[in-house]
Amino acid sequence: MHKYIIRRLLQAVPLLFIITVITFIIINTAPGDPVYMFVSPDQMDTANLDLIRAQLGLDKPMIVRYFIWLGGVLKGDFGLSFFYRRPVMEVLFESLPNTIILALSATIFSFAVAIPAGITSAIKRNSAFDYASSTVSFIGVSLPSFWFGLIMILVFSLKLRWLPTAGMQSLDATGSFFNDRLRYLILPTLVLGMGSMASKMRYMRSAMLEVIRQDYVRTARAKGVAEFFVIGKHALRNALLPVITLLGFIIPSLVGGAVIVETIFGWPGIGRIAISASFNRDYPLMMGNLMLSSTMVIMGSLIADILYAVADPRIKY
Amino acid sequence: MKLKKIIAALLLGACLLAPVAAQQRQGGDLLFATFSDPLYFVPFMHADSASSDVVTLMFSGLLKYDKDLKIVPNVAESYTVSPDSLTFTFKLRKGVLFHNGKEMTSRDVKVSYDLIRDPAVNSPRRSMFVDVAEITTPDPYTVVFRLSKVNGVFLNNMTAAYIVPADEIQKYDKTKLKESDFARNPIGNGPFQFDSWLTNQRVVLKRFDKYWEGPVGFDRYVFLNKGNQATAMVATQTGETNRVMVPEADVARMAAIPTLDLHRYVGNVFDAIIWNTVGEFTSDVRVRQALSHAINKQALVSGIYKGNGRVGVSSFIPGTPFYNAAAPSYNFNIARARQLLDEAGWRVGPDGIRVKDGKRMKLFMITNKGNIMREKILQYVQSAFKVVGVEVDAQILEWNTFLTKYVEVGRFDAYVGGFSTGLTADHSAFYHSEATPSGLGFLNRGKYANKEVDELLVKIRGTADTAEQARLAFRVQEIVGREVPYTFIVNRTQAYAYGKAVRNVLSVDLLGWFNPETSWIQ
Repeated sequence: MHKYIIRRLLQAVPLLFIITVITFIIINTAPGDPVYMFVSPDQMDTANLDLIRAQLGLDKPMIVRYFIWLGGVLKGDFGLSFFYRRPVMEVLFESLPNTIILALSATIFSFAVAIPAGITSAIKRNSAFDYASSTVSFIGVSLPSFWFGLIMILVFSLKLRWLPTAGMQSLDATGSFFNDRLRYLILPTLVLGMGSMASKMRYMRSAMLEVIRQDYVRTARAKGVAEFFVIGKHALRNALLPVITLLGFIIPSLVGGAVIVETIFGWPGIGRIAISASFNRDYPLMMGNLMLSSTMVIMGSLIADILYAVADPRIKY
Repeated sequence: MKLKKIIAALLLGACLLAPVAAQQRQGGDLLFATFSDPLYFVPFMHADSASSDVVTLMFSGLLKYDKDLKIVPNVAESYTVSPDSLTFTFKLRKGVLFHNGKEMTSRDVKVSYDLIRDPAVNSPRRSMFVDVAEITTPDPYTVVFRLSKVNGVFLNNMTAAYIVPADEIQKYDKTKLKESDFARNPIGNGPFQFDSWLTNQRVVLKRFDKYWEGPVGFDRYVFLNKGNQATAMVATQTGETNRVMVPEADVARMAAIPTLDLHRYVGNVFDAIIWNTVGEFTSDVRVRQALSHAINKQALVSGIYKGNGRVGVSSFIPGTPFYNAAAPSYNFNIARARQLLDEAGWRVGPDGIRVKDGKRMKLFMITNKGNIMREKILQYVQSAFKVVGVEVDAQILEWNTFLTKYVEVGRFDAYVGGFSTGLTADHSAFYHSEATPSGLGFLNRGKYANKEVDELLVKIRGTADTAEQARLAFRVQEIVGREVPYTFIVNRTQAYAYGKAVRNVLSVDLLGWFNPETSWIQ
């Protein structure tokens, strides 16, 4: 197992390298010129564009710039954001914890709802609950999050006045995390968690349906094991397998989905940094961000594989 | 004895009450719902409006505009201009303090202006002061600017230049001011001082108690980043924030909300169609005139802009002394449009599209994505031009691509764009044929060139006499009105909604919120 993890981590190195080459080329050859983001259109005359270009290091050929960038990265220096004029990692790590809070809470929410609901649907197949949960999950998967988010704001913030519209904390936040930040966290969690909750519910339901028809479940029942334990112990452990592997792949999808949710709810996370970096042609920040998310995707799939082995004793690496 | 005590107590009570009454004009937090974060607070380095909105509250310049758009002293007490208009002597106010408690002196002024002028600093506002030859400081409260040549808009430009504390700014490498600690922890001389900044969350400014004009009304001025415009407006509706910018499409809705006050004022912005004056189809003046006649601007203003604006007539904004109401303009007149196109040799072909020498008239027109008004103008124009037999290939492009791959390289027959224009008579940026490092026609992407206009524009810059400037500007408008390098669509109105508790808000045409210093929360 340890060997396997080490091997996978070593494999990640050339993979990341290839990713940097490809993304660097794509980013730098995409139309647009970062220099224009430093002058407002009505002041275009004044700033010396060539001087800005030199300051940003854009006067050198692309291949040279790549190796300068790579050299920095190997020393742990991801460069200075063009736009914010601060170190890339400082900008990213300032916002990353906020995205993690949101992603984590959305994950917990989606699993907490999806697993019991999926199990219940499977056991009580074709019941009213099953139909209701299927309907909810189809709606959940289909709702575009920007629309759903705005509707939630209109209902819970504007009409009911229960929750704040956007942001992460009150201006003069006092007291604990729970009585201030939690209020800000509820709506974005709901919207970000909704899509993945719905799909996980379907996964859980079908996995469970498959498992409860297995011989060993019938055996357990025949042995006189209480129904609760039949489901909770014998069936669930096997049915969870496909669902758990989803956990690894959730990381990238949550980070991706957070872009929209963060924008709707004014959440100060990394998704908004990524968007502004792309629109502003902030090459170093885009590269830093892509490196970070690629690393997360690679780690995520590694975690998924490890979890697989943990959940299923038959799988050994 | 007892009575005396009671009287004394009553008097004391009255004394205590009096300041309370006076203090009613103070207190509360202005909570401005925004949706983009500022970048750096070095007041001469930023080029984005989010930074500018914050910087303006923390820094003061020598001069400012009063509400009648007259230039008046600000942290300068007075100024004199030599008869040859080349020497400007400023007397500074005594007792103007920076937020670190140090008094502002002539040295701070010189250092601030020298940094703006320094090519190594590369300030986006450098060209405003290229005519300054030398700045001297005979004493701590006197600054003398000597110009190398007469500059008709020098004083106007000074309203946009803020003073920074020399001792603080000189701690940093002048070529890296954007990266400096000053950029995130600024020290200014304005009514509000910096408190804190959480990226993509908020910027908090607090009242500067030793502001030279006396402490301001608000306790704090907070910029709350709500991520997007729709959420920012909802936040103001719920009372979480008490100020928000309102786009044209939402003005009527927001105005109807009883808890909000909606303020509207004429902005110094106009939207226009910019013609490629060297383009294959649009180099012919008659074509540009014809297509200007084909657009129903009034319908655009009332339909797309929901009445939030005035029909565009000029880059010079009505209300300024430089606007020439008699300059040629183009009313909605399809018959005239068709006639002009016929005269230009473009005859209606079999498919209804005009043809000349076997070439169909198909214009390539673009605008940038994200500005819904401009996208709608483009759609409208596409159908309006069809009526007079002109086809339009319309494309909506992402901003940076739009700018670098199309506009800057002249790859368009026309584009829909917006400009903000200064309050001066110098409109070289739009009409001068030469784009040079020191400015002139840098916005003239349609490559408009007219020798007489060029000369007039240089003369406008070279005179300090406002009446003469106006005379020359009138002539410029006559010529460009006839030659149509731009078809002006609308002078836009800007709107902000305030919570009812925000008191004493004065919005002034072309300047916006005029008095954040003397507004307060009830």
